[in-house]
Amino acid sequence: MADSSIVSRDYQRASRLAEVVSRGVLAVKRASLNIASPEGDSEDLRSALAAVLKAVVVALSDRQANDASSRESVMKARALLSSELIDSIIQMRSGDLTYFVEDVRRAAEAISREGTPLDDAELAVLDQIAGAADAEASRVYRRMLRS
Amino acid sequence: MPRHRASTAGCCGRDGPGVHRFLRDLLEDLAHRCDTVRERLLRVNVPGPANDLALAAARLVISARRDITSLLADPAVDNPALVPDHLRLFRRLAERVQLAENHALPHLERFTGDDTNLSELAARMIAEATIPIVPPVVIASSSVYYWALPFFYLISVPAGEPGSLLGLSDLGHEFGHILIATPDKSILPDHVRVAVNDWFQDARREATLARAHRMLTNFWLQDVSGWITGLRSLPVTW
Repeated sequence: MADSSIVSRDYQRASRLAEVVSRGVLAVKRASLNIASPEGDSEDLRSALAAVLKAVVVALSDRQANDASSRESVMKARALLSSELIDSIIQMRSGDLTYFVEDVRRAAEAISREGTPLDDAELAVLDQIAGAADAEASRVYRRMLRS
Repeated sequence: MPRHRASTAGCCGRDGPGVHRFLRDLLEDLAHRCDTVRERLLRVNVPGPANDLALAAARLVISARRDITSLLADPAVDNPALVPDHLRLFRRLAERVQLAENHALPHLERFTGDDTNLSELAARMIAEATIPIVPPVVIASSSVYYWALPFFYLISVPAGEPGSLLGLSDLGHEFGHILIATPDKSILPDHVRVAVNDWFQDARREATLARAHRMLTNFWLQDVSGWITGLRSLPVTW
């Protein structure tokens, strides 16, 4: 009945997503700084991060899509990303959203291809998405404590 | 005290040596908290599902402690370029430990006969209705009516509920929260969840807009009309 019942589910999702993104970004940055990863699952972390970035691209670029296949992709992306997270990214990059989406797409492709180095713009994009996911998880967590 | 001076100088810069020292201190403090919470969780002596909750919370803390130990052993924690990323990981770990400390430990350390009875009643309702969920722990200590924490299979009800049958339907409602959170796609497919969430999101936006509209109307009626009345009463003619 109380909000906490619903918010706790939102928190679980937001927290998992934030952790996947943070660990993935860390794995990518370590590779770019030539720091060996202590975890053997660096490849899994990169794949998971690439999947999240692709979902972000879909959620940001196909929002107004009307055709069935785009709607299906948006549904899948929305199952992974909360609308609050997408709104916060849109708000953060409202002035140059199109360029941002292009940077995210390039970052996702570079991460999917092992050994491809990421440029500064792509690394900055990763930081922004990790920051947004982290802020969203913290926001939902605080809401859960208050409710 | 040269060591102290060096540390203070580092704190002045965002990426100076003080920042990662601070991160290490945070991690060490959290590791200590993990050990304390784990010990207390393993000390509680509770029956049935409550014991499962104690073990689940202890596992959560132990996994956090393992991650902290690997982070502390990793020289990359001292790399200034990675401090923001490690801080994000620290926040998630801290939340995990807080969940066990704030939402499981207090209830388990104060678990009473009423809680045992409610948990048994819940288990019987679930068995009779053949609801496909793990029987939750039900505690009678809520200050905000009924609530559930699905990831801990925990339901809290007001303190007076063990002596009353009127809240049984609300208990069933909380089972629903656990059922929905159960990782079984056949219960609630993604497209249904997204559609339901979208509907609520739109309804929430409409309610916010309606509230803003009401506030603006009240502002106009009370304040602006007051100013106009005030202006009219001024002894000035245009």
